Amino acid sequence: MIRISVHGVVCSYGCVPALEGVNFEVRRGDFTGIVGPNGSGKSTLLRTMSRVLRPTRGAVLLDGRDIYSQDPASVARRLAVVGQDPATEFGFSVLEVVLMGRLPHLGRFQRESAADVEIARKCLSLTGIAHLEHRRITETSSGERQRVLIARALAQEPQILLLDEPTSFLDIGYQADIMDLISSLNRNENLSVVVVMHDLNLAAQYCRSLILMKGGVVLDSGTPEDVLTPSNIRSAYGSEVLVVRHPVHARPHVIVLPKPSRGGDRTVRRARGGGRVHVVGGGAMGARLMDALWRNGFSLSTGVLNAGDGDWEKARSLGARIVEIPPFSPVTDADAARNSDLMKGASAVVLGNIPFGPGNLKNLETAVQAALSGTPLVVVEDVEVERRDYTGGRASALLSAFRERAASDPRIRVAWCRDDDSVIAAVEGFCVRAPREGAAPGGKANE
Amino acid sequence: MRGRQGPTLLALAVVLQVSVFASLCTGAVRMTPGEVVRAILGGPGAVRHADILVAVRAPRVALACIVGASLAVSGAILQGVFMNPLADPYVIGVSSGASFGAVVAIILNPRIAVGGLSALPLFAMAGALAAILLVQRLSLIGGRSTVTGLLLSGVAVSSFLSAAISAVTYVFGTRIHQVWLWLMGGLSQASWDLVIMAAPYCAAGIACSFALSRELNAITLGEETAAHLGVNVGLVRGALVWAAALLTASAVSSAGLIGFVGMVVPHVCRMVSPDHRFLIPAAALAGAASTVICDAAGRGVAPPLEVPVGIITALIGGPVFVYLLGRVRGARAGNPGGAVL
Repeated sequence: MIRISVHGVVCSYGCVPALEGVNFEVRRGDFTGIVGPNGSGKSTLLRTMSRVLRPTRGAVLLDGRDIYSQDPASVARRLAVVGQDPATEFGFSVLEVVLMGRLPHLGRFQRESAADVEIARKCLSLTGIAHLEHRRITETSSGERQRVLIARALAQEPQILLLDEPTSFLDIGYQADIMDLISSLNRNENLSVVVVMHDLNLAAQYCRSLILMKGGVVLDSGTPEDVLTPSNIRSAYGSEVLVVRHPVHARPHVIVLPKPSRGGDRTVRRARGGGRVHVVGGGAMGARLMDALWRNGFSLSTGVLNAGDGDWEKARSLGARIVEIPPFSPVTDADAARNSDLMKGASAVVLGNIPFGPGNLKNLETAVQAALSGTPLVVVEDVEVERRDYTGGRASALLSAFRERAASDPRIRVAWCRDDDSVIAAVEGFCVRAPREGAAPGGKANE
Repeated sequence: MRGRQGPTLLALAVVLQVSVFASLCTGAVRMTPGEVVRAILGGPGAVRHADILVAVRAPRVALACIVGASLAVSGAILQGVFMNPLADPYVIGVSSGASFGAVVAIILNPRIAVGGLSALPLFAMAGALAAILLVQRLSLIGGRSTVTGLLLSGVAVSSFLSAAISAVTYVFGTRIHQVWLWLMGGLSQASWDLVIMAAPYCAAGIACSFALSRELNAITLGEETAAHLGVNVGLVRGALVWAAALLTASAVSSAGLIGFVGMVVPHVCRMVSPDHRFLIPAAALAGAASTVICDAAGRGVAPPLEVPVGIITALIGGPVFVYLLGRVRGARAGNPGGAVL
């Protein structure tokens, strides 16, 4: 059931446009986050939805009717707002402030009844501040006051709750507390929640859907997984980010990378677009290498990896193409074939410093095959292969045979490296003459 | 806090009655409480005292009550509407607006009446309203009225209006005496006519603000918050500003400029409870009582000389204002809103 629909809302402060045609809907039981950079119109959107700021064009419908044509008290009985705390100077007690939430339910000269006080007390205990009942609002901490504001909104007995950055100015403990509280209200009290948030990770963790705004328009909307992609965030915030999976709840987690202007080793040199490198990793042994390659401007592919392992996480966050198989399952011939295709299209293959077992021996075989057919190979051997061979010597034997063959065959291009820097240098060397993706492998690489 | 509201109102009512009675006893002609009671009850041999009481002291005390209640309630409204505990009709220039209006009325003709109502308070109200709207406009810095912005705009508007009063008086010199007499202010001119003139405005202003006291509570939490709670903020705020103008006009047109009652009384009452359903009647009672006491003190300190009530309120209110300003600044230093001062 649609509770609020925002139809082509255009809004401006004086001549400064704030919203330029926004459309979206809030359904019963939704938990929607509005995110976006400063000045993107998030709070303005919330204000137009809360009957405070009339849109210059378009309409906000609450339960199917224009919110501005409805009686303000009747709106306030269905929709409550937790705004940014204006820090009042007037020393009302916490209970008195929460009782003000009953205002839309009272007649003109009606005083709050015992039932209203009961409701207010219930809201105080729902928000965990029953003990503050008699405290003056001016003597509460920011975290407590945020709870008071939420309790007051709940005292309105609304079906829709709008919140404007409820966690700003709060430390991380309080942030989680407040979001847990809102989340439980959403589940247990069946409240539709729309929350403007600054913190993308908190938004991703708690909201079931997100609206990403930029310059007064909706850039993207959908599940946190759909919305919080590196490219969306780049176009909204102009920042380079990694999007990884949160280790506990598996929601997207955004990590900001330093800006390219700083120079040096930590920079992201995307502009060079140095072709695709296929990394053979596993466990979390290839993660650092993939990161280094990615920062040096290479796009990545990898495989075969078990879904969920460390390198798989890393590869996903870097937008790599992955040949993946279920967790703990061995590499089959079909997987190896797909991996081989991916390797042959790459500018170079990097064989990580990984342990080999029966499960992933095929990855080694595929890499060696690719090298024999002309794809440049960089072998990382920080630790000699003998000491990470759990295949009963088959991996070491395969690699030594390849080493001998490579020494005598000039068509095989291979580099043996001990650290990340030399890997990057080797890959860059191969890429200067290597074919770009899509060019036929084999012939040209063997010139 | 709720439990203290009833007893406080009761205590204030008792204080008011006692101060009214004490004030009736005070003046150039000494009267003992017994004589006053006998004069009121109309006992034998009390005719001379009864005259003094009925014609001189009673209207004066009644007017003191009206003026004090009007100023205090007006201050309570302005503090709430401006979300600013130091607002007051005198400090923010609303009284000056009212007196400019009144001076214009006197120069035109003090006897003109509009629909049976004396023109004086109507002109005063127009002046007060204009001053409130002007100060409100000037004091908005970044959309919110700050203490500094409000006080500075009040000073600017007051001094502009004082100059305007002088200019108008100077240009229209024929009525300079009446204007001067009126500007002296105080309660020494009190008469039943003035009481009858001021009382309806006072009653209307207090009734209106009491009826809207619950909405005013919500507005003190911020106008947007009030709107979220279903309050029609524009309408309520407008009505309250009118009520404040009405009350200031009632006070100024009958007694001239009397300062600080409007700020100190509601501020002190708010220490019991900031709930305007309590605050409005409490400020009315306390404002009336304190003005009656200040007036009695002015008459009693060196009879037959009278110290005008405005001087007494300023002597007490000035230092209290400075003290409260310090307290408000101190309180603000501790919260993120401190930047506004």
